[in-house]
Order: sequence, then structure tokens, then C-alpha cells
Amino acid sequence: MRRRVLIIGGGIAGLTASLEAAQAGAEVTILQAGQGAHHLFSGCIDVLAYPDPDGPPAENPLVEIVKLTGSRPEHPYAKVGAAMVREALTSFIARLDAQGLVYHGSGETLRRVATALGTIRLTGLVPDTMHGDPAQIDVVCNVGFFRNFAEGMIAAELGRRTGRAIASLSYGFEQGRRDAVGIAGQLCAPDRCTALGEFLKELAPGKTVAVPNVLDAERATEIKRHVEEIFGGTLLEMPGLPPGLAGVRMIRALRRTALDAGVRIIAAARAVGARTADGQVRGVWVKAGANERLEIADSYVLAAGHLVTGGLVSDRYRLREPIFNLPVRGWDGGRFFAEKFLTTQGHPALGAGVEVDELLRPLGDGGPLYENLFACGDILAGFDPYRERSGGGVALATGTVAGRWAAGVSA
Amino acid sequence: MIKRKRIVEPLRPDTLFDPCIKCTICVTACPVAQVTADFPGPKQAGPDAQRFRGRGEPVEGSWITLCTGCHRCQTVCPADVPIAEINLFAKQRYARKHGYGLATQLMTHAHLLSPWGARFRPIAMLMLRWKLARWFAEKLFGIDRRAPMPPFAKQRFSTFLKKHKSPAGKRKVAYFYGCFTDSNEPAAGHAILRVLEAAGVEVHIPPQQCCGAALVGAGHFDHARKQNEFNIASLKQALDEGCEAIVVGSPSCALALSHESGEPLGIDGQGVYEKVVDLFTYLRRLRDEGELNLRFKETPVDAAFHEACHLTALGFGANAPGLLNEIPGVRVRVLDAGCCGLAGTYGMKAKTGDLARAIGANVAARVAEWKPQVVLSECEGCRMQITHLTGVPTKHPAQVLAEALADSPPSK
Repeated sequence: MRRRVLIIGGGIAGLTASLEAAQAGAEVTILQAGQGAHHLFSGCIDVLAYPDPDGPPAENPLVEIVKLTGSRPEHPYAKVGAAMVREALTSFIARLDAQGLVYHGSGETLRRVATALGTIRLTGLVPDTMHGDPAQIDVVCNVGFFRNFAEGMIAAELGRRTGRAIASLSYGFEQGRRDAVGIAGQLCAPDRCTALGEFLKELAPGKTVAVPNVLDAERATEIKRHVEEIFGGTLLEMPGLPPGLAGVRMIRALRRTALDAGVRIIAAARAVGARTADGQVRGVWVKAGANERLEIADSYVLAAGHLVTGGLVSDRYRLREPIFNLPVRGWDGGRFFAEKFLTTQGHPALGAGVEVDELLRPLGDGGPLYENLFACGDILAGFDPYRERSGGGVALATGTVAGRWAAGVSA
Repeated sequence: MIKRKRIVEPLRPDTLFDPCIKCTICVTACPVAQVTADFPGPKQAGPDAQRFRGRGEPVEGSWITLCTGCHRCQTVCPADVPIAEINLFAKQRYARKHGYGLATQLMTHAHLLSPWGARFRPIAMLMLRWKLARWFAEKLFGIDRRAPMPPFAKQRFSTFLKKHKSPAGKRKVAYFYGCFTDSNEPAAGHAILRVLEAAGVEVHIPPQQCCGAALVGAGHFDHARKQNEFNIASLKQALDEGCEAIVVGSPSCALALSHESGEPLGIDGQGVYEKVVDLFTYLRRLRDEGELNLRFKETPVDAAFHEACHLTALGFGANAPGLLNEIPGVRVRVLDAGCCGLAGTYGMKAKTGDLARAIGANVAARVAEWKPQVVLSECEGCRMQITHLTGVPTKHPAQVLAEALADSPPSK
């Protein structure tokens, strides 16, 4: 019988773990309540932009990761090593490429992406629709009179940062919704898409035009190419407020890769507890509607994310891991209300999580708590993905390692 | 000191909008929001709008009827907000004030009409194919003239079952076949019966009425409640008589018999809801316990599998592709292209037929790209719609399993 691996969480970390485990020959099941948090983010894969809160941005993220191994042994990158990060990024690019979704970058340089606030975001891997130098942007154009996109402000701010005069344009439809999904749906109609191209051909022929992240989750590349052919320039998406369709595209492509590899994805099912004995996890209690059952496997991967996706839950005083009741470390509790909500120092609670050993097994006071439980992604302690800009890379690298160990092969 | 009176009342789903963190993932998953500007999307239609509705207050915006009830929003919600149920309650309140419309009334009561269709099959089939009749049906009843309509069965499944005796087995399950299998497509029922019996499972057929999935979806709770009170009592008795599970052929029936009978219908499940499973989840359980002893012959099939939204919503996952891929010669690939759009009666109404076809465009495009011999789905609505949109034949996955059994006659 094949080794059975049960993965809790269907985000980037969980899907990556599932692919690695399936590739190693395991019979893999993903349990998910919700579907990750990709739609909240930019669709880029952050690797490591700000290793030190007070220092300059990383020149070469992979080199910084090598340094982390010595200076911050509690960091998830230190547990898996820079070579693994590189390998995980390469596989990610190849997997998405096979699904027709192109990502640029390697983790060796930071990529610059202009955002819907007119700022420059430093990241690791960039989807094709955002791939282009922000310093080349000539025009910021709202599409669909998108509510979350102030093109004038963006053009002014981006111009200030890049030292160029940037024009702003606004294009929209007479009727219809003005949210990202609604606009994306309208742009799928060929006449609307052509009309946008004609509009840009008249007002910004041959220019580099930044637009909001409203290209459809399925057909973005097709639409981008079509519009670009008409106006002869370059269309660049800008990451902005949720929902981020670039993230949706990415997770759908990863999901399809997993399904093709034979991974079974059980959605609408929440893991609510575990049965453990003799240092082993023996099963996970799952609740789906009225149905409560024990899902049994040989090994388990916890990729349930942080606070946003319910991998950790909180009350006023502390954070808790609700499935295995693992100790949550890195935050002493009581200071949920940091003086500044958004600072370059990060929020103390966001660095907290589950501490693991080199094999990514959650630790108790005397070593790993369970032989067959591995954790990966945002739930890990020792790093603040928002402050460092490292969430995607950590999810990919630790997901790879957790998936392999869970399948019984050495990472 | 101020003394506060503690108000203790059961939380119903239509009051559970508070956990919504406004993350908008539901909007990205909603099939309707992708194709029309008239529906504000599940976040606004569900938890956002509910915030402004008092208990029992009528619901005004007619956009609520555009929700297909697919449950995809609820499936992706990280905060367990019962968005689909909030919308069902809103639909009910809208319909109470504004009526259901003739098309909805007719089609949610298909369980009463279809047996007549089967009885007068030649005439009924002629009417379905006759374009003029379909045109009149659109004008008179609001039934979309292009929408897929199911054929009527030569022999109803229930008629066949009257003479069928399932051999005694070590295990025993209750089989809920549903009205569509009964009047329109008994082939799926025959296949399920054959597979279960081949696995050594004794199949008990409890007395059953329509599960009311279509009624619930239209906010027509009262009739659905009556039917399911009957069903729950009947299935409870089946459990008492030693059935270990209630195997349901169609995911929408299963959802109605487990989740929806509890909420929104408010029926006491008496232990029934926990036992409802789809066929392949039951088979997978047997397999995982090492108790599934089926022998297969080489069966070359190149199929695509479409996961019905209501199958996802059950929370068991799609267990058919994995099991079918263990049969020599069978290759099943999961489509994962979203909702097919039919959503029961939604795609059959003139008002929403075009939306349903637009929703199904992604599924149709992927089927066209892959060119499978057959598309498999447990849901009869999905099967009708996919054949309608692509021309590719569709089957219940149990049919492939049944044909591959070692002692099956070669398939035509």
C-alpha cells in the first residue's frame, strides 16, 4: 500500500507539499477550510526583501538567506537552507509554466513592481502581467472605473518616485460593477477588450501603461496580448487591494497541477482536532456540515496558515493552534495593540507561530512532539512574512521539505 | 452596576454574518459574479446585505434570485460564514413577497411532473424536441427554449426496483436514488446498484420522496420541509434496520438530505445527516479499510471528471477520479474549470438561461481543449449542461465502474 499523506491547508505551502509528496509516490489528500490567502496578496512570490528591519533591502535574497542560516537559526529559511529555496523557486516556475502561467525571476535579485499606491514593491518572482520596469511606466490608466484605483494619485506618486512625468487616464464602461471581479468579467467580452485597446491606441500608442489588477483569473494572458497588439505598447498590472486576481490565477494553476498529479482535494472540510498516541498522530478529526469523522493517514502536514486563514486562532491574550494544540512561540501575548499598526518593524504577533526542527516537525519542550507531523508555510515561528517580504518563498521551500519528509523521502 | 440581560437564542445562519472578515475570496469564487453585473457578488449579497436586514423583514433586491446556490462562496470562506444559507433565507423572503414565478413553480415540482412524462413518454419526448413547443413553453412558462431538458425513461427505476431483490451481504446500505434517476435516467441507478452489489453490499431501498433540492434552491422551504420530514423518518428507519450508510447517487440530493434539511429547513436529523455519503466516498471508505474487493477488466476509457459544486460542498472531496484511475485502461483527468452553470432549474429558466451558459463557458472551453471521450460527473444537472454546451457524452462515474467490472458484458 502506498504511504498516505494528509495535508491540512490548500494554499501555496499545502499545494506545494502535496505535489512533492505525490511525486515521491505517496497517496495525498488535502483538507481545506477556505482556500488559502492568495487573493489577499499581490500574486508575486516574495523571497526576502528586507532581512533587517533597519537595514537596506537585500541585493541578492539568496545570499541573505545563506547569512540568515548563521545569524537567525530560528528562521524557517535557516532550517531548510538556501539551496532548497532555490530548488523550490525553480520547481514553482516550471510547474506554473506547464499550466501556461509565466513567472519571472530566480530569487537572486529583487524584482520591482509598481503598486496601486504608486509605490515600488520589492519582491522575488513576478507574474508575466506585472513583469516590467516600473521606471518605464508612461501612463497609469484606470480600467472599468475601478473603485480601488486612484489613477491621478498613483501617477503623481509613481512619478515622484521614478522621476518622470506620468500621465493618468481613466477608461470605463457605462454600466456594470466596479469591483475587480466584475471588471474582469466585463473585459472578457471581446468587444470590451478591443475597445480598451482602441482607447489606448488613441491616447497612449506604444506606451507602457499600468492598469489595475483586473485581468481575468483564467484569461489574463490572452487579454493582455490582445490589448497590447492593438495599441502597440505594454500593459502592466499593478497589485492593489483584495481581491488580487493575480494570486487567484496562481493558486488555480497550482491546484490544477496537484489534481493532475492525483492529489485529492477535500474542500469545505475543517480539521478540528487530532487523535494522538505514543508520539504519533493517528488521525485528524474533520467536520464538514453535520458529518464528523476521523481522517487517517501515515503522516500529516500542517499548512493551515496564520491568523487570517485560521491556522492560528486568538483570544485577547494569546494565540493558539487549534488542531493539534501545538505550542505557539515568538510572542509573549498581551500586546496585540502595537503602538503603530503598520510599521517597518512589523507586528509582534505576526512573527509568532509553531517552532520546528530541521525536519519541520513541531517542537515541544523536549524535542519533536510527533514523529509523523510536519509543519510548513505561514504557521511557522521565527519570521514575519509581512515585514521581511518572505511569505511566498518560505511557503514554497518549507512546503517542499514538509511534503518530502511526509512522503518518507529525505528532503 | 449595570445589569445586562443575557439574551440566549439559537444562532441561525442568517444571523451569522459577523465572522466575515471582508477578505473577498468568495467574490473570486462566485460563478455568477464573473458573468453579470446584475449580481453584486456573494459578499455584498450575503453577509453585507444581511447586516441591514431585520429578522423576518422582506428582502427587496431581485438580484438575490440570481444566486445559483452553488455553495462555492461558502466552500472557500476561511471564516465559516454560511453565505449560501444566508442567501437561501433571503431568497425565501424575497419570494414570499414577490412570488416565485411560473417557471420556478413548475420546475421545482418536476418530481410531480416527471413521472407523467415517463408515462406518456412518446408525446413528452416529442414535445421536448419540438422547437415550436419549446418556444411556447418559453413564452408561457418562462422555460428557456434552448436549455437542456432530460429525456424520460422507458421504465422508471422505481418500477424496476419493485421486482429487484438485493442479495444479502456483510454490509448493508440504504440507497437514495432521487427523482432524476427514477424518471429520467435510470442507467445511473442501475450502475450504482450493480457496483454496490458487486462489492458485496446489500442495497436496501427505503421509501423516498423528492429531496427538494430545487425547492430549497428557490427559497421554497415549506414543500421541501414536508418532503424531507418524510425522507428523514424513512432513512432513520433504514439506519435502525442495520444500514451503515445512506448512499446517495446525486450530490445535490445528498446536500439536501444532510446539510440543507438541517439548515435552512430546520428538521431534526435524528442521526441521519451524519450517515449521508455519495457513492464514491462510500467506496473509498471500503477501499481504505481494505474491504473493497472488485475485480476489473481492461477498459480503455479516456475521460474528464467534472466536480459538481454540491459534491465539493459535501466536504468529502471527489473520490471518483482516484478510484477510477485504479482500473486498468481508465484514464480520468479532473477538469477543475469551475461551475457548469446549470444549477438545477437556474439554467432552464428563460430569465437566467444565458447566464448559465456564460458561467459554463470555462468548463466548455476546457472540455473542447482536452477532447475526452466522455465527461463524468455525479450530478445530473452538470451532465445535461456539459453535453448541451459541448456535445460530448456524459456519464455518472458509477457507469464507468460498472462497465469495467470483470463480469460485465462488453459495453456498446
